[in-house]
Amino acid sequence: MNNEKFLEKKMRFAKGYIVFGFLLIVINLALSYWAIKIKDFWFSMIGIWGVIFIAMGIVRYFLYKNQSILKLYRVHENDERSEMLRGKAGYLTFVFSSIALAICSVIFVSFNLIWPSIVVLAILFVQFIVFYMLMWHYSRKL
Amino acid sequence: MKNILEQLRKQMSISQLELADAMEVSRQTISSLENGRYNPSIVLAFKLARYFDKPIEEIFIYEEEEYE
Repeated sequence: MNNEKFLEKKMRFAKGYIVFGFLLIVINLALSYWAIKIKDFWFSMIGIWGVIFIAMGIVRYFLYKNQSILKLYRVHENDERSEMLRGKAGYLTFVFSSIALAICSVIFVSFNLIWPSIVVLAILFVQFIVFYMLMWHYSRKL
Repeated sequence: MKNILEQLRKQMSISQLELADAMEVSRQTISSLENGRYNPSIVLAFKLARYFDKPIEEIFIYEEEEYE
């Protein structure tokens, strides 16, 4: 992937952050305009996250404009050894989180907390589905 | 798989970082290749061969018993 294509891809991410941040702020304003009752905590949380996303987008935008920093990002992202390391570490993390979620659900059941246990099992199930969907998706590409 | 990358790099008097820059990989990748801890993809092997102007089999020496 050449520098221009990589910059284009990264800029899309940076703009996505800014758009998402604005979207959160618009949601926040819309909720207050229509006086929809949610707790004050959520009003401030949505607004704060909106500002955080906009700030992250702006910082990324200016970082990617710097050619030497962009090159560092490109090498780190496209380096074949780093990709292999991420793949190995990612798979082990997946196995670890699956075991941790299974243990959590057993602990919840033993404390008679049925709903938390069901939620944890649902997350575990979704995690497996996402994993195999991604495997299928990438197996068609490679 | 053994290789003569370090030898070739030293002959050209370039650092690992310079070679990494030319190949668009990290310095750690070059270091791992030189130590024989990591085998490159065919694309990287070709890039290295072109950079040093040598055939791949001259740079990378495949030893069958390693994989048996």
